[in-house]
Amino acid sequence: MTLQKDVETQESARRPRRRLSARAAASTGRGRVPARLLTLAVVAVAVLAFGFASAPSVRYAVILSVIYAIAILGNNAVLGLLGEMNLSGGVTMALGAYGFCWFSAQGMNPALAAVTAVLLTALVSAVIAIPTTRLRGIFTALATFALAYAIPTLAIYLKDITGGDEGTSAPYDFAPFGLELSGSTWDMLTTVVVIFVLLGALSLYLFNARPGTTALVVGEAELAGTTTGISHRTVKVVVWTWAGTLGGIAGVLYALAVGFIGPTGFSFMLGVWILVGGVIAGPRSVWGALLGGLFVGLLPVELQSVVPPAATGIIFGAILLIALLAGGRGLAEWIERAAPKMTELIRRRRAAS
Amino acid sequence: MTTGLEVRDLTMTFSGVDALAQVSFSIGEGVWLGLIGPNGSGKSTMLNVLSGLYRPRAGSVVMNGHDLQAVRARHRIRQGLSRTFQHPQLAASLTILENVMVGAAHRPTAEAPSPPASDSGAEWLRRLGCDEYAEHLPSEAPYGVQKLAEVARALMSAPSLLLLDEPAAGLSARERVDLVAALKEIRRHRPTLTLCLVEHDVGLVASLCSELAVLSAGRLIANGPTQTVLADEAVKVAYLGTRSTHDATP
Ligand SMILES: Nc1ncnc2c1ncn2[C@@H]1O[C@H](COP(=O)(O)OP(=O)(O)OP(=O)(O)O)[C@@H](O)[C@H]1O
Ligand SMILES: [Mg+2]
Repeated sequence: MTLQKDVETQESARRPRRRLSARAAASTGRGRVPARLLTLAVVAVAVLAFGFASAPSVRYAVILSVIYAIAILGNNAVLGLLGEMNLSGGVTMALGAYGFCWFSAQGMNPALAAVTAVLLTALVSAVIAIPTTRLRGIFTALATFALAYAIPTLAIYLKDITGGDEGTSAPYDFAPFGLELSGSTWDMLTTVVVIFVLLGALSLYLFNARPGTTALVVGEAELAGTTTGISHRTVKVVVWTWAGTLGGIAGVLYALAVGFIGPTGFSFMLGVWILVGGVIAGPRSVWGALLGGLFVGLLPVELQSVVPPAATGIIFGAILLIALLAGGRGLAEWIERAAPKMTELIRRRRAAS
Repeated sequence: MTTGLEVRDLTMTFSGVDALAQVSFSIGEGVWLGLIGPNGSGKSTMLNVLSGLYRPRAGSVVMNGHDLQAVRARHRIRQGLSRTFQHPQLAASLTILENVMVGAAHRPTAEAPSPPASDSGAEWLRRLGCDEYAEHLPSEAPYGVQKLAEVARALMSAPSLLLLDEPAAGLSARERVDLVAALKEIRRHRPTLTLCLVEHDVGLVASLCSELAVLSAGRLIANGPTQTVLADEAVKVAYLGTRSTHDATP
């Protein structure tokens, strides 16, 4: 019996590996696409079920959480692939939201207004990205800091477009495919979750295909990228544009869900939360982005009913710290690492009994 | 000369100090040249200038008759130039094979559109003796494998000029033997490949290269057939003298 086992281990040690080890897959977030898609689906269904079963006020918070998750998913590409900090997540949401409202108010068909707003956001993100291609790591955070900080003031200043302090409203009559897209409706919840899942699946595919490989070379071995013909500028701009596109989509959905947007919705902290939401769950995990969205969307609200508002920030920070210490790459990676160990433990227990 | 590499009066300055001072030499097509010299003599700087990562203060680099002055670093791979790094530059999240395949993205424009299947990344890894690590991350592979993966990646573009920066540094004696075998394997499969091999291990260089160029403090102090250069007094004093102490007077 033991001998048999030894022979087996030797054999498997000599046989070349056909795919990434579980450990490598967990630490890089790559490979295992079917399993990751399944996890994404399971988590998404759980969020849907929770949202359906909840009171409208909680469902509303879940809807906002999933919207944040979409922005986090985009922002995660910048952090997870390039290792750069982007605080402009809130800026892109604001652009998408305001753009959508404004284009609709100009008499544009709302569906077209939504697409135009997202494209505009993508374009602006590409422009924001250009100076960051000369910076690295934390300095990109500083570059986007000012922008994130200026948005509420800018929104008040650009009164004609944004409605200033009073804000502006999303189109009332927008019901694609007969869906009631506003507030805490089931349609709204289903729509945001489906959009998240589609974008998540697309992210997974891109991350494991050529675009992901190229971006990882730029993020992790830039010199080798240069000498093998990769333009790090182009790659960085594309990744930031992708982040902006998802931020723009999140912005449009946010405007629909909230119905009425004002400068207070896009404070500097929104960009920080979108970044932090990605860090907590791990920037390379798609379902982790959903987890991050729930943290950002639910935790502060829920905590405020338990502890004084001033303490929520501290608790939020503590959770962030624990998440960073736990895995370095966030909770999702930590869970992914722990999961095989748990199943192994259970298997051994069963075998022993 | 129209083929191979020609370096003329190359000068590279870092904050007033010449890392390379008017260096000129050439490598004929298919010739393997060893570029040796003490630490800090400018070998890596030379490769960085050749590959376009550094812009020289003066001088020119001509490859196969083309002046590379105006060619950006990332476009030099299309001219048939490829290189490795002294410290492996591998993407930590990509497998060894994926890292190797990165080199195949931009083949020289003159090359046939579809390379023979025998030159796939997996095939080069097999020839270099590290195919069992194809699906490992660089951090899971021995240092020697990481260095060979860099070589394999550099070969993926089917280069006409290959620059290797200390491929043997940090390798164990066994890994060095494997490396020499791997490099001979490359020569067998690519007889027209021109090679510039930067290396401290003179024995290894001498066993592979027919010509040597010696740098000392940024200056070229010798250049020619390997045996001639190794017998050169100036070379012995500046470089080899520090190693073979038997003929050094106390
Ligand atoms: N980017 C840089 N900035 C400033 N000085 C540099 C730079 N690169 C190299 N140098 C200097 O140029 C000189 C030559 O360095 P280089 O790395 O080319 O030497 P080397 O021959 O490759 O040495 P080694 O054998 O240690 O690799 C050294 O004095 C080094 O300090
Ligand atoms: Mg060097």
